[in-house]
Amino acid sequence: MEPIDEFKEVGKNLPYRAPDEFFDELSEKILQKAKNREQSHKKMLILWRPVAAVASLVAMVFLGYLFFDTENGNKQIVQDNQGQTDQLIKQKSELSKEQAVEEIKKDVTKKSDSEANSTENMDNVLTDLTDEDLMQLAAMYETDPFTDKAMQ
Amino acid sequence: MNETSDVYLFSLIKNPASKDKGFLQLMDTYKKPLYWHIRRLVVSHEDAEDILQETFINVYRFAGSFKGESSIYTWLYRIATNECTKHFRKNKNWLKNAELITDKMLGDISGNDTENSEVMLIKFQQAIMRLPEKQRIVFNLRYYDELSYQEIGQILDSSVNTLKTNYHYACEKVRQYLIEHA
Repeated sequence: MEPIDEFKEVGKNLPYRAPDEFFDELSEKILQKAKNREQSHKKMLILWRPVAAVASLVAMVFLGYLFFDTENGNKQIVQDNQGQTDQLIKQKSELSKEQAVEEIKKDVTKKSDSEANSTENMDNVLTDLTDEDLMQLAAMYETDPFTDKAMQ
Repeated sequence: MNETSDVYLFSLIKNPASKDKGFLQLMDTYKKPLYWHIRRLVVSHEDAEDILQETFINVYRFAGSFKGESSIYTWLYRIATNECTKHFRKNKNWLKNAELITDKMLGDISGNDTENSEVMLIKFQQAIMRLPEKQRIVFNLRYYDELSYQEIGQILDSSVNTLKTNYHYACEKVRQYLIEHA
């Protein structure tokens, strides 16, 4: 392998110094820290496992509650809507009944009015006729081949 | 490092009964090269000490996940380099602190009538510190640790060609800085 010496004039020394005895007992110090760190991680895991289990249980219960609550809510909404439509139908049918009754009443009064009017008109016509006309009418009635009297 | 002794060390670490013994041996073997690798990147001794500790603590915790696809040497360098990168992300003004440290060193040297070579060393470090992050890491691993491009590729997850380009540009920039600040 070729030597890597692009900067021969500078060399590979560094201007930095490590403190005296820095490397002595460094390994033991780091080992102790690594062990402590691992223990604290294990402790955290031991602490967090039940917390995580409880949290997931609470989340499941909450989700379940939300699910059932929305289902019941939907049922309630459907029931409410059903009641409202029933009421509307009832109101409408009552209205239509009332309207029908009123229309029938109107028809009846109209009919009776028209009947009354027709008899009144007939009376008026008869009063306007002269005695001669009346006699003629009576004779026609008696000789009319289409009346019951003529048949007899 | 001898591969047979690496395999032996890891067999010790993976066995719970001999884990601590193997870990101590691993640290005794690699603490100095790793410390200087970290120190070259972060400059401050305190930061280098913290990062070295964190590196070995991670090795202790995740030793079981080492599959032996690369050598232990490159695996350790990879963890240490990742810790350094994390440090750069956390302390965005670390370069300012590093410059203050080197300026202080430069001041001490000038005041004490020290050799020119010491001044040159500090200027050389200042030039390296001004490199972009990846070029700085590649330059340090190649120039100081004398790792092959394949090994650096395993540490940084990069192709050999990319690393060669990075190293070439880094050398050019350092040379330019030294000429400008001669």
